[in-house]
Amino acid sequence: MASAPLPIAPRAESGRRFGFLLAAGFLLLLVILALFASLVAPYDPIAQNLKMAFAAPSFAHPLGTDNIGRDVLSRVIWGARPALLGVVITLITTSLVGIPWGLAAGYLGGITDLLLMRLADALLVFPGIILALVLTTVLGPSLQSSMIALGIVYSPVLARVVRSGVLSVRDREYITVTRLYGYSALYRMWHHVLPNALAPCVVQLTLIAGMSLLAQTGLGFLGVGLKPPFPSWGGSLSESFRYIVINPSASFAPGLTVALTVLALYRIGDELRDRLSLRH
Amino acid sequence: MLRVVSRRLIAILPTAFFGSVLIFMLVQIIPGGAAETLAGADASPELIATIRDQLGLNRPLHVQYLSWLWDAMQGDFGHSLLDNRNIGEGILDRLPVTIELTSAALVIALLVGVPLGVTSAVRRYSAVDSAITSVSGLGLALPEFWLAMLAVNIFALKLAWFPATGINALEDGFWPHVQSLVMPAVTLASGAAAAITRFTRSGMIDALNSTYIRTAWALGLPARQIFFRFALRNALIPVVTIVGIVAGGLLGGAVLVEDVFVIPGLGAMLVQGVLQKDYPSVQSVALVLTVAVISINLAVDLTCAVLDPRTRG
Repeated sequence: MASAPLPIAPRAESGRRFGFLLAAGFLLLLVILALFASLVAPYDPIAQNLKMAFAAPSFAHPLGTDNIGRDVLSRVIWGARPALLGVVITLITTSLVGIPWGLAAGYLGGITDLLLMRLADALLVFPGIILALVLTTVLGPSLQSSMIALGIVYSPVLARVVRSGVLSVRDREYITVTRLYGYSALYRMWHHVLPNALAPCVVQLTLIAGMSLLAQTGLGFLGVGLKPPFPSWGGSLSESFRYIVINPSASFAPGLTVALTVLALYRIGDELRDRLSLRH
Repeated sequence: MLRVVSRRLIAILPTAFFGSVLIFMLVQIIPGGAAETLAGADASPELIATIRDQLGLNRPLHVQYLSWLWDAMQGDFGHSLLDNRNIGEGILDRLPVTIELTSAALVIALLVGVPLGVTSAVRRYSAVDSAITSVSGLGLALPEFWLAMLAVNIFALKLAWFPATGINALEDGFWPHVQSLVMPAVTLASGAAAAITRFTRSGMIDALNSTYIRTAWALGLPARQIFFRFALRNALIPVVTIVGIVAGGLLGGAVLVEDVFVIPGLGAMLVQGVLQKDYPSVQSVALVLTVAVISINLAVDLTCAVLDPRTRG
């Protein structure tokens, strides 16, 4: 479409690379903290210490303490567990629903395609968090059910991407050749069509991971999700909000962590998109 | 034009149908049954039967759906399971504030996003461009309700420039009303403004790279005319297309922002319904929001058809 290749200054290129490495490093750190939370976190995340309530950041409590004296840093570290687990549940649900959906629509075509894509349009109309709230009513308010609900919400987005990927390779010669081998339609879709349509899928899943973390934090803030006293970033934000005047640091840390994580996920998604589109 | 309108109206029918069926089916697919869940773990069979009767769950499925839809279209949403209040009246009470908040946020997002996107595209790869791109990237990643929390802390509780909670009624004066709307609308608009900035930028860059703009440069037309008269007009078409999605997202974000500012809108009603298992309320609010989003998308489609004859097909 562009009449001339876009000039990219070498300095901008190295800056982008640095940003990507920073994003990947941050996510890796978060995964490690989540896995080894019991070793890394300085305090028990649900141990109350009313004498130490509303402590300002200090050497003993780098991010201060909350309204009932719990260590904010420890709660942020432990909160990474449900956050990352939730994102993984959402991504798995989205893939389980969205990939077969898009494959069937793109590969079978015709009336099946029309019906499946109409259904996708209908679901896409709903604002994600509202549909997740409504589905959570049905599945019951818990972390798992709200994450599964979010996975269902995002699946039509993925289905569309898979469908257009399938359409772009379906009639190529190397796919047609596999018909001669007499493989079943299902086998050919899975082993020959899908792998060639996977790259845009991975990019989309990275973006969905970011969106789902934002939505998950919002649901936690509304009280739909992990039940107190277990630490979650959204729940911590909701608890700390009431005391934000006297103790702003307890509201600051979880929100900033969410923002940085989402920023890192989007950065990685952008980078993957650029690299994968370079190959074409 | 009449043909365009009727075609678009027919095109939204399947979306509306699927949407309403989905919302209707919610109560049907509750694991263990809606009546059993509401009655509690050790309820007598008689109680469960009474609740089933109350919710009308004994009738055939298609009869239930059609009567539910027919009543809803006439504004009869039934009664809340919590306090037996009329749901339709509750929605009417709460709808105006949610519509006002969402529209205000959309206007702010467009007023901020379009000029920033244009500036970014015109000064592509400059320091200004990378600053705008970084800020819009941040805007996409920050949870709106967290910004709202921080804004409450700084501008309401510390500086006392704006009220921390609620929206002042318009009858109590125009300025107090606007003043109370500023923080909720601005914080809600942050993500949408970032998205619109990005869309305007890429639309504008595509337009500036096109052959008709090259021709315009070759003709020696003034830069101002090229940017605003030719490039911007074409660049805005994809922006108008995403306004529908952005508005839907704002309705979703409004649920959270209403919670932070304790604004009695539709979002608060939805959240309360979800937490208290008030199924009829949840279904009704979801249906109203769906109709709202579908109407916005229809309006956007028609606007596009007016702006761009190529999409009238």
